[in-house]
Amino acid sequence: MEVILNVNGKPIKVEFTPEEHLLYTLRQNGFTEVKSGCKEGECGACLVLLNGKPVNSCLMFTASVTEEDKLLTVKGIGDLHEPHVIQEAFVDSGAVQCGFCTPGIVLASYALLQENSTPTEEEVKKAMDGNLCRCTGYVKIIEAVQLAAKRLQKK
Amino acid sequence: MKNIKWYYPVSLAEAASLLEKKSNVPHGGGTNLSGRDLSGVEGIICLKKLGLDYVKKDKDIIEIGAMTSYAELVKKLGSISPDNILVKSLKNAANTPCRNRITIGGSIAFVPTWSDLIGALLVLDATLVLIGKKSGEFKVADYLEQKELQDQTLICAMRVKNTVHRSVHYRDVKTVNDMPLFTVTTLLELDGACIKAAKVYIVGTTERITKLSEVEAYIQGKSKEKIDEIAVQDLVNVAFVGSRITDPEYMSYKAKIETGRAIFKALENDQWK
Amino acid sequence: MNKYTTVGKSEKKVDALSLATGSSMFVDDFALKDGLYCKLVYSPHAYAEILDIDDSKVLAVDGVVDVLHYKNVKQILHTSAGQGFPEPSPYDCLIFDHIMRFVGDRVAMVVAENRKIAHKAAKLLDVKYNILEPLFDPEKAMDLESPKLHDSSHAYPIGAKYVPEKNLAAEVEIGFGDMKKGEKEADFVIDETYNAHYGQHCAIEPHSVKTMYDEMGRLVIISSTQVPFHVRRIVAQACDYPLAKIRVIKPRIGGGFGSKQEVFLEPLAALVTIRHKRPARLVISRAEVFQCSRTRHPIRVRLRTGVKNNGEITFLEMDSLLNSGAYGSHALTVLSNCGSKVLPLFNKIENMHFLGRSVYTNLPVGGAYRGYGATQGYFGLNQHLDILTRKLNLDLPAYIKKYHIQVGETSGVFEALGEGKDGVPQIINSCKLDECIDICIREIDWHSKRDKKITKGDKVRGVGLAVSMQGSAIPLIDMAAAYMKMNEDGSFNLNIGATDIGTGSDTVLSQIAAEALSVPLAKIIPFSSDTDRTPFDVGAYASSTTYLSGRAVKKCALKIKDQILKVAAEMMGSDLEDLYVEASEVFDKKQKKSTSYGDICCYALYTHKQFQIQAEASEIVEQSPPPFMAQAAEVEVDTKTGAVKVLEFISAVDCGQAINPQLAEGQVEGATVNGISYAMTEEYVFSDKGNLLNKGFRSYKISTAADIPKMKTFVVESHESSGPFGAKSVSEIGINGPMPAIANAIYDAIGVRMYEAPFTPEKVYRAMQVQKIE
Repeated sequence: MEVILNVNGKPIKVEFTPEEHLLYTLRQNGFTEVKSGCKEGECGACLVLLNGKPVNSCLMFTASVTEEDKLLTVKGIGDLHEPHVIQEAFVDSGAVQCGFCTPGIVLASYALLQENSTPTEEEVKKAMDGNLCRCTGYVKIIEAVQLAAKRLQKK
Repeated sequence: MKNIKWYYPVSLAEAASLLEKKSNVPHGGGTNLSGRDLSGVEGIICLKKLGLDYVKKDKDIIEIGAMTSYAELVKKLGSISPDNILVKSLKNAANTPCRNRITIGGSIAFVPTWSDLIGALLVLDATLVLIGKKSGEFKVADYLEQKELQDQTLICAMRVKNTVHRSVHYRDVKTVNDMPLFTVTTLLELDGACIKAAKVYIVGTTERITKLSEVEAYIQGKSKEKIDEIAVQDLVNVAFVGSRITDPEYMSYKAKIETGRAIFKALENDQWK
Repeated sequence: MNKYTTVGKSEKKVDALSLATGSSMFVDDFALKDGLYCKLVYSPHAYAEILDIDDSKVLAVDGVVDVLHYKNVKQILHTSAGQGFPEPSPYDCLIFDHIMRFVGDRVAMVVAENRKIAHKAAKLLDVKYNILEPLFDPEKAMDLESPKLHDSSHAYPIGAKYVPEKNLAAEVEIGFGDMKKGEKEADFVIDETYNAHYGQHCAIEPHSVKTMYDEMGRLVIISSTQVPFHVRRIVAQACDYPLAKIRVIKPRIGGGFGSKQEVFLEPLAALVTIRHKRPARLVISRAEVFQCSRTRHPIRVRLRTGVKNNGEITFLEMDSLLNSGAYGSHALTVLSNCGSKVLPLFNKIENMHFLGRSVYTNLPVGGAYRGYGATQGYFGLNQHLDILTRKLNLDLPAYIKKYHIQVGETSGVFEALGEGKDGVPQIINSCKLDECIDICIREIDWHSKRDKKITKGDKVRGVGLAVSMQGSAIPLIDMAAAYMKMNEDGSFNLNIGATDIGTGSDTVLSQIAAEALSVPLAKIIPFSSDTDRTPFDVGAYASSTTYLSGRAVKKCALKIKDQILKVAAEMMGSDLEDLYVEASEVFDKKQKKSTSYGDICCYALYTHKQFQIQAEASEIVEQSPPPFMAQAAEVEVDTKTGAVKVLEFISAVDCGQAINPQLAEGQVEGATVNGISYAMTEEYVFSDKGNLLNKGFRSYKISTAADIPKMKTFVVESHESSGPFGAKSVSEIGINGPMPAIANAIYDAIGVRMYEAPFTPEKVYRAMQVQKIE
């Protein structure tokens, strides 16, 4: 099968099989920032934004994604040379250890802050209830999101 | 393996005719099909173009399109009716990214033992709008029991009455994002301080769904002061399959405790919302 | 007041931005051209002999390139434990054996053009088994009639005690003093048995390896590993391949926690590339990580202490039984640490005996896991102290303060108990445990809550305390090395073998170098863990990196500084003793002039008597100065259902000088949450036939952000003079306290002693029934 996916604002033509999952398709087409941790929708390492909403790409059929859909990976919100406020907040807060869960959690935070620019600590925790991190114990990740929220408010 | 063919019907009629072939399965985007072995499946009917994701209120009926995700329902129904038991039940189910994909229709069609949804639907006496081999409006309870309502049909929408009574949903989980071992859902319609009508369901028992009719009968007509929590517990006699780590006897005991608590919480003025 | 410019600062992690923007590369992100997909086939039986493998149907599938199994792979006994050579673990495994010793043991590996073909073809493998009676109970492992899992062809390369006829994978026994005297002097004896259970590291990145020949025909292994140099050596050994032809690269790693201190996938992928001259990819699934990689060793710890009525412990006997699983990787060393990291903490006990045994069972294999035996030992010791002080109506915090090891003191255990070799005596140089305890008591509000059983409806609250120490590297065994060279803008390349697995060692070691050279952090360019491009380092384990690798880096940096000063002296016509260094410049205090690092390097590279300012240094350590930790928990117990909620958790650690306080906190927070999760919800569930039933995150529950209690972490700085700028270690210790602190808090709340975790509602409820508490 074939489709033109809109990833990070750019169209990309991909070939895929009917049972293929979006995670595999994305990684095969160079989007290796989307990670594979469990393949059962529990760890959130594969999290991408579909039309602004966090989804587990490991549980999505690529065939479910059509041309009108907009996909966002962590590289779509900021990169090494022009990082997003959220990415910088993660760096500044010490919220990045091994970094494997980071793309997914950054995107989950981005989606949260798009919808709720002043989340409480409980709301932050809930927004990442689908992202597992074994390195940080989540403490600095929560601080990072709150710091990002503050910085975005100032802008 | 023969290549699976994907269909993207744009009308309900088209979807219904595709369902006539037994080896075609509908897919709302949820997480059930994508985790499964697909041998035997020849066609997948993608439902996203049918316009079935909506929540609308028509007088005293709320209609929820089958393709509405848990997250969308919590958000949309949450703004119409924030204390609705459906909102309470679903807002903590699964996890954030999964709630964006699990649909109401898919959830009912593939109802797993640990569903957070079913208890709410039953206490609300929800109905389903079906098309396909059987079409029309049917009670959820009937749909769950009768196979001929499930085979080769498509759930288009779900309807509930737009009245909010006191309700509590308890889910027995180890971590926040866990699949519940069982859930207790209760809905109490009060007349002053007395219970006018009560509905109490446990999902996850050996029967999968157990209506606690004896509990309902006991608390009916009574006010909080007249209800003895031990008496409630004594009337909760449900069995569980259990597992290697969960002793069914303990689960039966816990179900008693949590049912009693759910009812009393529903009766507390500041706790049931 | 910080006397340093970089050390002690929470500098940003050097790779944090590249990780946060997704540009960092992990093993599976490296593209392979024309790569082969590898799929392992596992034993469905806990104990079986393979009578025959017929791979003909598999090989007949179009796109299958090979099937590896015992018939076509050289049978070279080795250990998968990533430890120094010769390893203190038995050589008891083969790449492919014909004996299967647990459900999940490796039968064969299918190599194909892609995933679909490999998975389909793997189902066609025809294996004939002679199913044998399995052994699951470690307490029965040494019985005469129990099945034997290994034979005398297996042995330790270091000649440690090993009795396969009794399923004994390791035995350690030490003692000092006079136990009989201790028994006589005791007014009463406390004899309790504690069980630490299975756990999985759950690093979010599964074990991954890619192998290929580079353009010069050298075998390159890109591996998610904590131990690149051990990988190189063990691959050379197990594959019988020249070490000189192997290069191991560690890219970014998605967590390890000990699970990747193991060399069990690299030889497989290497063999594929060696045979077929094509790249190979071997990435295991989450289920395979749970069942077929490594676990925490369950240890049954029995503590017997003789106690005087005034509280003094007259003797202590520890009897530990470690369940090694099917193979003996780390069986001796984790066992040893159960004693060596725990017993010295209470060094006033004159009469001590430790007997430890590791036994084989037909269950998943134990390996290194943060805490490494200390976690299991402290589960016992901290509850034992709680029992003791309650019995005598003594204040637990005061008791610990009175009897724990202090600065200037030693323990006979240090010398008696090593890691496969003799231990090394040491004197404690730095210890702020008392301050850590005080912080915990204050922050948890101990005195208002302890023994108060504050109740609200069906819920009762309690508080508990736990203390621990760990180590910093393995004395006289571990070695680290560093290489540095200078560039003409005053920057420095720092090449280190030390392995950053997310811990931030690239950053911390750069900070040490920067401090030693008086330059900002940005002037250090770290490059690590490439066996071709960096000097040796044992790798990320034993909490060794900051302390040991840090010392090597500092030593190296100071050699560089010497060279800089000598060039500066020549440039400025100075006397060496008039020179000092500050902020990338060398000052002559007599002549009142200076010259910049950049100018110095240009002079050295280009102007006169040209040479490259460069240095190397290696380091071993003579002691392992322990970090110290106090942790406290407040819980709320539902007296009807047994459900426990951890309300608040306090951690206070003395890690010497924190090189990077934010990273140190991060290590403690991560280890603590891991420990809480292990205590509350994690467990391995086996079928009657030894099959792991819960091999995924849906059924093996670990904490999410929404599950953590209110947490506070304090880094208490002491100064360890033997450490680089006063530093000790911090990465493991945080995981030791949660389980016993929570257990002690549960007792405080409801008077029920939890000898086994996880503290699920059902387990607590059952304990309430058994111990007859209402």
